[in-house]
Amino acid sequence: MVSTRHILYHEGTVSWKYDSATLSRFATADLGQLLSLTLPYPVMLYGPQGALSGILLRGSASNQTTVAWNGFPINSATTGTTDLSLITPGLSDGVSVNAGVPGSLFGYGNVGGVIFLENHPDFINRLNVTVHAGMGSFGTRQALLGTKLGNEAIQAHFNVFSRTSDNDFYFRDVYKPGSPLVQLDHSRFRHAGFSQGTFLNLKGEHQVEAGIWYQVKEMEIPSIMGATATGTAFQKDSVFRMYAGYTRRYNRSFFRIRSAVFNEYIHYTDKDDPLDAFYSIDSRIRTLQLMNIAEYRVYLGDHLVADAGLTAGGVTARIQSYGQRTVETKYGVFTGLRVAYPRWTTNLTMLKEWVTHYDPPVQTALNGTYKWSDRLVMKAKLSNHYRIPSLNDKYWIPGGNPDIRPEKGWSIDAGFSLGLLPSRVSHASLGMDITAFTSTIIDWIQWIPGTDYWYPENYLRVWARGIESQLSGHLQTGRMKLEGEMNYFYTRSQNRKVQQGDGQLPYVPFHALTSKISVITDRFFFAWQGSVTGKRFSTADNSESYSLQPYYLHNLYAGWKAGKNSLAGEISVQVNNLFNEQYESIRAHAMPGTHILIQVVMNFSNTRSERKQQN
Amino acid sequence: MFHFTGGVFIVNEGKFNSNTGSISHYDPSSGKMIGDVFMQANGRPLGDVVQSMAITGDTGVIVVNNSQKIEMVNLRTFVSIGSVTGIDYPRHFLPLGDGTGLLTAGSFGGSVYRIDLKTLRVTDTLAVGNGPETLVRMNNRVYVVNSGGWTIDSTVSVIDLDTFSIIDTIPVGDQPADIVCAGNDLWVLCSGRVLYNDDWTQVIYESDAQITRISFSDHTTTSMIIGQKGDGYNPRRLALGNDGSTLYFDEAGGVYRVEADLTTAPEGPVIRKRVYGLETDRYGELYTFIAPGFDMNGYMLRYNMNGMLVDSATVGIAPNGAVSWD
Repeated sequence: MVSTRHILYHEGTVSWKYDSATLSRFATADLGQLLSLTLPYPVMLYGPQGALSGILLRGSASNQTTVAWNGFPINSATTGTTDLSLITPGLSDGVSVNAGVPGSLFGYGNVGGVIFLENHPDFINRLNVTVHAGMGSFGTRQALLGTKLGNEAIQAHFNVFSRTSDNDFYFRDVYKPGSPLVQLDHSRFRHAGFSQGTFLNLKGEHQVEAGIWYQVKEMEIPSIMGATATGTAFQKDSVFRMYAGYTRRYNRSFFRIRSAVFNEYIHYTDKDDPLDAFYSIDSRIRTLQLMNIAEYRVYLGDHLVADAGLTAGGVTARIQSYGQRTVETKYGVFTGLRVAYPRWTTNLTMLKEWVTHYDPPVQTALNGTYKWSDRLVMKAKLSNHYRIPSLNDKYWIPGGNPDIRPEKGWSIDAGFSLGLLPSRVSHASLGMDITAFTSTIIDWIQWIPGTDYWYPENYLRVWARGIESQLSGHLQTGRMKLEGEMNYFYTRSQNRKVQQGDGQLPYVPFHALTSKISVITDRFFFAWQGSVTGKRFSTADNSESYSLQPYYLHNLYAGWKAGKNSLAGEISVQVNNLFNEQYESIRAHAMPGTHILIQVVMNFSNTRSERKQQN
Repeated sequence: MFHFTGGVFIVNEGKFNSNTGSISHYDPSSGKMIGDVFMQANGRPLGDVVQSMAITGDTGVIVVNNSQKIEMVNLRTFVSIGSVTGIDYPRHFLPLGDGTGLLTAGSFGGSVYRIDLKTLRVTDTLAVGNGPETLVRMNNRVYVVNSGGWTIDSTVSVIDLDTFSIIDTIPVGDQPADIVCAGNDLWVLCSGRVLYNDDWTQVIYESDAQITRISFSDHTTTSMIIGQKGDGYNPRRLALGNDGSTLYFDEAGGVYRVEADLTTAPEGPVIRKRVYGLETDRYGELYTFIAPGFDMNGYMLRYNMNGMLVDSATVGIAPNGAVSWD
């Protein structure tokens, strides 16, 4: 399949791509859990697994990061956010977190970055069946069945999954007298669904792809810490997403057209008193989104690539609080140019959109790399960004403002990647990657309280800057491989219009660190993962009284692999929060202490046997 | 360790779902403000959405709405002496002076609970109107405003304390939010109501904000309109001057003043600031509370009888009122 634009024009962005082993280990978890355990970016966890979660990339808000499924943004049209607890990594062949992706590439409105969920075929594959089954603490049950079937012309993928947990863990409730040990109540969830992908490769010239993603999640929402009554809130999310695409390849170019339809439904209820027969809140939200992309790319010689395309789409929402059915449309035209030489690469991308009630400026990005030596590559990026307000910002009654201004700004990244070992060293590697960034977001929208109701206002002016650094390496000795990685981020995300305090945005830590050491052999693997999340403020005025102290998490993974040829299996144990740290990701929302997950993975594949025959 | 002997306790609601509610202590004679006295005295946060506070003797009774509890404290040390928990949507507490008190609760159909402060138990329950809020006592009766909560209402429930039963339901203006009393009269601040059609494109009903005066002797009422239709403001705070003949209320332009006999139009605004809380003390001074947002500290502004600013200080998040301990 042809590469996507973010891969073509990737220079200057920071990408965290999960390997297949990690995706397998977290196949039946949710994306919020995976990101919180592995990345130094703050992940807002509103509770244990299954609870609402979002990520703050580079000091931005969760609605300023886009999650894209096979190129289509799945952010909620009503709030602009993506609930990461609704995403199961096992449904994707590739998951990557990309900070600094310019808005000019896709028109997602992303400011912090983009998380890509991708499915791609392996046309060598004939049959591959994988079963994940896990059982863990607090009544956790997870299962995923994945099948891939086909030949060099057609591949069909199908995944079905189910996850549930009672989340009835004990925690120290520091908001109650005597900080008693309390069992979390009303926090059960169930999440199930399937995904299906079909890929056709006809003589290498015609490629057709299509995919479906359907799931339902039901979640009991617990009371916050310190509450003296059981929670009564409940939320059901269901989505049906479908996309299809056609690519026509020519000698040195291709044309591609793709469309997607997303149908989403959220039902939230709450009661004043558990014994009430009626709901005090009964909110139903239905949205239907349609997106279309057409693009043409041409490879002009060995050093030049150019592309251009069109986007067209719309969203319709039926929400009681909007008063009437709401329809918006969006069109765009984009283009890009890539010049790549052995020593340097430069990309220029531009996007112009037209959105109902808005006429955004042209979004532009200039990024590239310079290879100073075999071991040192320097990178830089300059871009502007633009985010259209969400439907809630514009139409919620009361308070919504159709004339509210969009968020906009610009960002600069600069950094380098340095290999610390000579390239002739084949059995080991050690490298570092450092990126500094600065980004402004003007007219940041925030809902603020009015006399009788809340309303959105272009309230903040934010300057986010920081440093992202990574040190990683590996050592191969015989049949054993040792891997290590350490990531440290410093982020200063400051509201310049704050009236009190220093303006660090709530829940953005100044300092964050993750580290990992893995030992891998043919039959055995072991990994220790640690993270430090620095001090965070929970209020805009950075009140010390409501700050959250740093916390440290340690996780262990160990597993045994068995089997050979076409049948292989693995049993693993995960021990999360090994030292039972009591912490809050979001103030007053309980998080579990030490908990374990035992997982069995079985895989049948005839690709390996066929390749052996070919060899 | 605190050793309070008086002062003003300011109620700070905090940010919803974050346990940032608090009480601040202000000494009017020295101007000293101490923030989050409960946390300092007890080593734990007070809770989520601190709604109100009442005083009986040397005991403070703090209503913490989203923690579903009332917390009792020793006013001198502010150390907790107990709590009553598991109460859905509690709002305001009225001490009865006999070791018990009445607590309003409920966002739709409301209740008044009788609570024994010695045993920390609910001893009786009485159904009232929708969304009961503040309540006052005159002789052997208690008057409860039924604000409507998340629905609508326009009544005041009258409770006989001997029988603990409703003896009258007085119609007043739409969405009564606050009540004060003195002499033979009670005054109710009614916020007014706006209703839209099904698709929220037209206002099909709107009523003015008003103050209704109730005669204690026969429950007859007289009313005065204080707001304007279409001003987009629904007042919620009413305070009685120390002379018992002047009322202060919040409206779109700030804080206004009106004679309690409601025969002359309100004057003002005497303070040109929209307020989130409004109280008076026995010296005739006016305390206003400003909430710039729900994720940052608010302010107290203290004025003398002539409307001159006497003092100001930072308080907790979303200050909505105060109670004086003399």
